[in-house]
Amino acid sequence: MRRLAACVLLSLPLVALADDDWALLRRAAVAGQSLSFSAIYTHQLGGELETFRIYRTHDDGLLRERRESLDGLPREIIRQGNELTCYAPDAKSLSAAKLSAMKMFPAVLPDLPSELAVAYSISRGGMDRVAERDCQWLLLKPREANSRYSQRLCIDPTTALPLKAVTYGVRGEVIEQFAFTELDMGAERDKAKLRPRYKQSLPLGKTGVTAPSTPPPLEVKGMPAGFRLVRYMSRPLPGHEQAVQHYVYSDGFARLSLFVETSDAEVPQHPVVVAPNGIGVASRRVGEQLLTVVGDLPEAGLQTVLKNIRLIQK
Amino acid sequence: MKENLSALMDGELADEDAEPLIKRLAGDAELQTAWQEFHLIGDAMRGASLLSVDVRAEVSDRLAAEPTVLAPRPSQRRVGRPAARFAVAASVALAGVVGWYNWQSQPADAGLVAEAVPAPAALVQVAADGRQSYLDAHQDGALGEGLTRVGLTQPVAQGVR
Repeated sequence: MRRLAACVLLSLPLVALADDDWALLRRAAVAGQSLSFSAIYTHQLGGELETFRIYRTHDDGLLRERRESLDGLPREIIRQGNELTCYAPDAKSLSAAKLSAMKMFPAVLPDLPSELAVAYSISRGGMDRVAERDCQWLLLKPREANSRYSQRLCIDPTTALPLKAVTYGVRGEVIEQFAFTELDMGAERDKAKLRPRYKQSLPLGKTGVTAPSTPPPLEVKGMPAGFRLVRYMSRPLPGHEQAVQHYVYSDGFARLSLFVETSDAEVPQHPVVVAPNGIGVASRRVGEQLLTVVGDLPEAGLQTVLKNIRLIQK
Repeated sequence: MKENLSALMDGELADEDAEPLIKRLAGDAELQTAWQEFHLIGDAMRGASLLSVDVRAEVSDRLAAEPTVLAPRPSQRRVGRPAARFAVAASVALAGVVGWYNWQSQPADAGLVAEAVPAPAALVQVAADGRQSYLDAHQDGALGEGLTRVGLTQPVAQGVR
């Protein structure tokens, strides 16, 4: 009994510390989405490096943001309040713009970072310096080793803005990273800098509004802890005769697609393929159904998902 | 009047009603306080951790009370002469190293440089056998989710723009 009490007493400060870390992460989520600034940041994914410039300001309470690529294909992503639109000089650059809109650094955290606690443990690293500012490293490791990638965020303690975000693979290799190189806090006053330069545009819809989706015909059980169903759609796929059921899941960091189809196609030779950008594909046959999962998970994680899920007809 | 203010905050007020209200808001201290309070309530209800606490009055008071310091600025002294000399030496040395390195790596020229310019479309191309369509669909689906997490700030005075 006494030993238990001692354990509890000793572990209390640890719990309190973790609480502080989650609190900092919550502040970082808000700051990453809403603070005003002008900045330049780099984005490395796989072996590629790109640079973006971003202006963000509040105009009559309306958040306005413009980010443009400084290298590669010219493209811009404009945000006005909840509305996002890509702009580019031609169709090819426009589709690239759509991809660049997948992760909108520094808004890399989910709205409710506390939900990450189910699948990730948090710890505090050392101090560092990014874009001439001091920042505090926070480490998020998957509770189940090798099932997901680890995340490290370097957060400015005064503004809570994430200055650097790194995704690590299971062998500690860097898969993706974002980092500010120049950062000027405060709103951009020159309105011209917030207007798009290119002619072709592609609206990406409204943020914060979930499109009404049809209820899925199957109940998916056995998804790893932390993953929740974000949307479901039945969609045609090129090269597939019938429409494919597409379930989209998220655990706050990783995004996972599950495709279910009735098909007699062979399962491909390499059941799991993970690209240098960290996105992997894996397939498995269950009776007449072909299951395919795609997501930014390591190989072991994708295999666990495929092995454990059960589909129940509603 | 306060109902109108609330409607304006939610972006539900028609332009013709909004304009006189905003003009009045500019001159009416009571309305301004109400505006602040409404935002504070809104933030609290949304659970935002950066509550918009009004510190303007306190800050102005403190600033007014602060004494003005009237003293000449110290003239800027140029310090660190030896360091400057060292810097010149260092940059000359660096130029030498860079030059030598460039000369060494002559064969790696235009081809490499051109490849280094990223084409983001290539980032999602996985050497997967006939699985590209799944990857494309995943990007589309994930994109929608990625968007839903961007917005915290509600459009406030959309009718006024």
